[in-house]
This record gives sequence, structure tokens and C-alpha cells, in this order.
Amino acid sequence: MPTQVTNYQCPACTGPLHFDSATGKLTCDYCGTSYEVAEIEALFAEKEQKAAEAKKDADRKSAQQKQQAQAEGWDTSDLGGDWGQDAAGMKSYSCPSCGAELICDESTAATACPYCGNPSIVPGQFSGSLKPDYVLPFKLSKDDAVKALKAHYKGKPFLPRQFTNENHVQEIKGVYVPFWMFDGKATGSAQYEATRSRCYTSGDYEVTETDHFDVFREGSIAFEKVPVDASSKMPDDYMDSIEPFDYKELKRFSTAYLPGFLADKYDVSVEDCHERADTRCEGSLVAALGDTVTGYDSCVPVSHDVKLRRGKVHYALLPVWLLSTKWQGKNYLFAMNGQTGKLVGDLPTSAGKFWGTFAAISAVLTALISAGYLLFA
Amino acid sequence: MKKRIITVLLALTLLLCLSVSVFAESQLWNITDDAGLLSDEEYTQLESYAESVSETYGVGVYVITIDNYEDYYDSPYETAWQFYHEYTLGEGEDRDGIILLLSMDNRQFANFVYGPKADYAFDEHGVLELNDWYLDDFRNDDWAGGLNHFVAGCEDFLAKAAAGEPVRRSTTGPILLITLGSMVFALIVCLILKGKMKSVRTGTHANAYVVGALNVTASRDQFTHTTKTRTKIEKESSSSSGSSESGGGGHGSSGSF
Repeated sequence: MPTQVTNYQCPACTGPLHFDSATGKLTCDYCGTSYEVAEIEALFAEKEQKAAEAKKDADRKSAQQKQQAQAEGWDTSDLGGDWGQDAAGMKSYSCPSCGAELICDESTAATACPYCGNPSIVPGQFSGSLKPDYVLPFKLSKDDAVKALKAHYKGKPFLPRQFTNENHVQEIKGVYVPFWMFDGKATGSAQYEATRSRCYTSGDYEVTETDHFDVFREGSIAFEKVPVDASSKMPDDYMDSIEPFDYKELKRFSTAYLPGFLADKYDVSVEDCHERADTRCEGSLVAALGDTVTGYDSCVPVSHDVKLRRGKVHYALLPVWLLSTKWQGKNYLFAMNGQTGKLVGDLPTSAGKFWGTFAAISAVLTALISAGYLLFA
Repeated sequence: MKKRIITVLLALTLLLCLSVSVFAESQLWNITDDAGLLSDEEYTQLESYAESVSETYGVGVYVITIDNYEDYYDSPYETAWQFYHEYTLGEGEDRDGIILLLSMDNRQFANFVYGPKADYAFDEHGVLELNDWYLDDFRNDDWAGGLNHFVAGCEDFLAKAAAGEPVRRSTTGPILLITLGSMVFALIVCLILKGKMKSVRTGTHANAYVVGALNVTASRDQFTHTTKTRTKIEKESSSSSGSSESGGGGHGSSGSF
């Protein structure tokens, strides 16, 4: 059953508004007028209330129509009144602009109508306890993402030429990805075996004296907002790789930042995510303790013991550009930090170029060194 | 009076000549053991062996042992080639030959190769390789054994040269090693470049989200014990086959034993 979604319309011409990453304002697609986020939030607070009432009316009307159809004798018992088990992961909404039915994933929070293209928000996905604490607005545009991808291809000598020539980006989408942000403190200790050596000559012998030390370090380190993506659709390693985000530009959450982009609500719980944050905090503490062991020639970690004191958890939407492409039947995904422009994505390796380079380096080196050897040895 | 002066001058000249070379008035044989290292039997056997090799291959094989090269010339090598020319050593028109000189007081040696046929059998590398045949014997004070090995080495080198396969530096091993090293280097470079194709990795640290700095609450560096390792320093000279020399119209090598 369709439920209500909202799209932000221009107060001047009623055209659809979208968030402009370059200006940080909402801009009308038609008349080009720009509005501050706060201004639009105030204007549409009332509209959202009306939309909720309209939803109730629509639900009531739909029920009446069904009853009427049954009364007039049509047998609709075999029609799919719902989607059965398929509906478990789906939701449908009505586009407020053209009235088309939008079938979305149940975690979809912002999308675009496939018929009229208007950006639409599902306010219910971010209401009550589901409301994110923060949003980090997009700073980079789709064009920036395409440029970053081209730059990503540069300086990769093993990238197949056909990949760049034939390759066309199939899909580019700006997504506000849900993240849990963990505050906490890691306290722990680590033990190391360290050595310091000195060499001297005694008669016909070279003597190496090595002093051995047991080194112990204990300390703590505090963390703030360690991000862990809370969307099962996003590959964890990609989301880790596009970090870090600059939190100075974090804003209090508002749906006004979402038009023009896709957004999902979280579908991985805090409990399922905190282990990833714990592992990273532990890794940082152990590395930091190890950095304090100085003045030795060698230092081997023996053991460590880390305890984590968990603090507040924040819910935020962070900007990510996703670019996908297909080559030789294989999908290649690239993700770009929508704030900093850091782009990641594994590239295919040309076996020919790999072995060709190997053979060329081997041959040139062998020829040069052999010539030198034959001439001077 | 005039006659007396001339006689004195002649005597002085003779004395001067004698001081330059002890062998000035005699012809050198293949083996000249002035340092007295060999017994009569050893000498006879070695002389016959060296003579036979010289005649067989047309390249003279000579040995001279002296107390100290400094009594003659500035270096063992110079002493070797000066003796070679002074006594017109060598076989055939081109005076092909090889001479080994041992200076016993300072345990120095030198060898000198002269003539095209000898050059063919003992090139620069060959001379150094020949030294490996006998230097260890001399280091162990086995003089007869060392000199026998010298003549045997010469025979072996000359036989190979006569068969058209003179001893030459083997390039197969070193070039194989160079090729292998180059391939390992190339593979490392290629793997580093291949690593650039991968940019997606799971996060292991949260350093970007650290607030403040590490607060170290306890730190202890406790000395436990000392270990000592002793490695014998290999003296370069003990394993050296000598160094190449040139001069006197030929080439050779010199060193200590």
C-alpha cells in the first residue's frame, strides 16, 4: 500500500529542489533560486504535517475503493493484494509530484522518482528514535566523482588499455550512507622484547654484544566518533577505505540536505557494528604504545591486553559517491568520499602488461649488469 | 799505474754486476732453488718434470726461489720479469714461457707470462686461477708439493690450450646469478606496481579519530641479560689468489703466501 513521501518544492515556482554540494544550499531545478537549508526546513515543517494527514486520507480512500470493488461483484481474491514474502523487504510510496508508485527497499530514505525524476524523501525513515544525529553534506558533485575516477586510472601501468577505452561508467549515485559513530576509550598494556647491540673488534674476532630488555608500556587513548557503516548494502572495506571524514563540517540532521541524493536508513544494529570499532581502537592503542618504545635496535611485541570503555554512539549520514562499471562480465565498484574526494576501488590487472614489464626489467637489468661484469670484472 | 786503475775498475764493475744478480754468471735451469727449499731428489724430479712439460708444449716452465726479492729489484713481479729477460728464458723464437718466483724472507711470490703461446694458455684470469693450484701448499710450508702443483697446473693449462680450449673465466655462473637477481628485482617491482591496483582495504586503526594524545600511565624498560657472539675475521690475504700485474712485455700476478 502506497505511503506518503515528500519532495521539497521551490516556494517561487514549485519546481523540485535539490541540495547543491557546491553551495551548500537547496537549489531549484527550474528557476535556479537558492535557499538556505534552515529556510526550507521551516517552510516545509507544516507541509510534512499535512502530508501525514493526506496519507491517512489516502489509506482510507483506498480501503473504501476495495470494498466497493468487492461489492460490485468483481472477484479480486486472486489479485496480489500484497507482495507476500517479497514485500517483507519492500515498501511502496506515492510520488508527490506525479503520483507514480515508487517501490523501494525498506531501508530507503531518499530516492528519486523513476518517472518524473523528482527527488523524494521518506520522512518516516528518519523520525523518532531513527532520526540521525548528524549529516555530513555532500561537498563534491557527480562531475568531481567522474574526474576522480579518471585520475584513479592514471599511474597504473598494469591497467588494461581496453578497460579505460571501452569502459563506461554504468551508474553514478550519490548516497548518504548510514554510519554509527562510536566514542570510547581504550586502556591497556603491551610487552615487548627489545635489544640493543654494539660491535667491536677483539684480536682476530668481531664481537657483537647484545643487551636484552623486557619492555612494558601501559596507557590509554580516547576516541571520538569512530565511524562504522550501518548499511548491509555497503561493502565494509570500501567504507573503511574512503575515510577519514572531516567532522568539522558535521551538521545537525535535516532531511533538507537529502534532495538530489539517495539515502538509506541503517539496517545493521549498533551491536553488530561495535566489534569493528573495537578492533580499530585496539589496533591504534597497541600501535601507539609500540611507538613509545624507542632507542633500541630491535623491538618484538610479545603480548598485549586492551580493555575498551565504550562511550556514546551517534547516528550519522555520511556522503559517498558510488560509481559502478562492468568489464568483461565483471562488475567494478568505486567509492568516493563525497566530502574529501578520496576515491577507492580495485582495478583489473593485465597479465600481458605484468609479465611484459617483468620481462623488460629483467632483460634490461641482466644486459646492463652482465655487460658491466664482462667489461670490468 | 794505468793498468792497476783499469784492473780496479773492472773488479768494481764485476762486483756491481754480482750485487745485481747472483745468477749472472750461470745459465738458469727450469728450477733454480737458491733458497734451498728442495732436497736433491725433489729437485731432480721437479727439474725433469718441468723440462718435460716445457719441451712437450713449447712453453718454458720456470721456478726461481730466492731469500729476498729486495736484494734485486723493487717488487717480486719486477724481479720475476727481470730474471726472465736477463737469462733469456723461454722456448722457441718468441721465448714463450712462465716463471714463478718465491721470495722466502717476506713470503712473497710473483709469476710472469711471456710470449704469444704462453699468453694464450695463461691469460689474466688463467694466471690467477693457476695460483690456486699451489698457494695453499706454500701457506702450509709444503714447498716441494707446491712447486710440483705449479708445474702440474702449467701442464694442465698448456694441455687445454693445445687442445684449443684454454682456461678462461667462466661467465655462465655469474651471468646466471645476474639473471636470477634481475628477475627477483623485476618481480618485486612488478608486485609493488600491482599493489597500486588495489586500494580497498579493511580498516585496522582509528588514528584519525583519536582525541588528544596517548596517555602513558606506566613505562618500564628492564635489562635482562647480555649475549655475545664472536665471528672470526677472515683475512683477505689468506684466501687471495694474488693480484694481476703487467710489465716487462708480459703479464702475471703477485701476492703473499
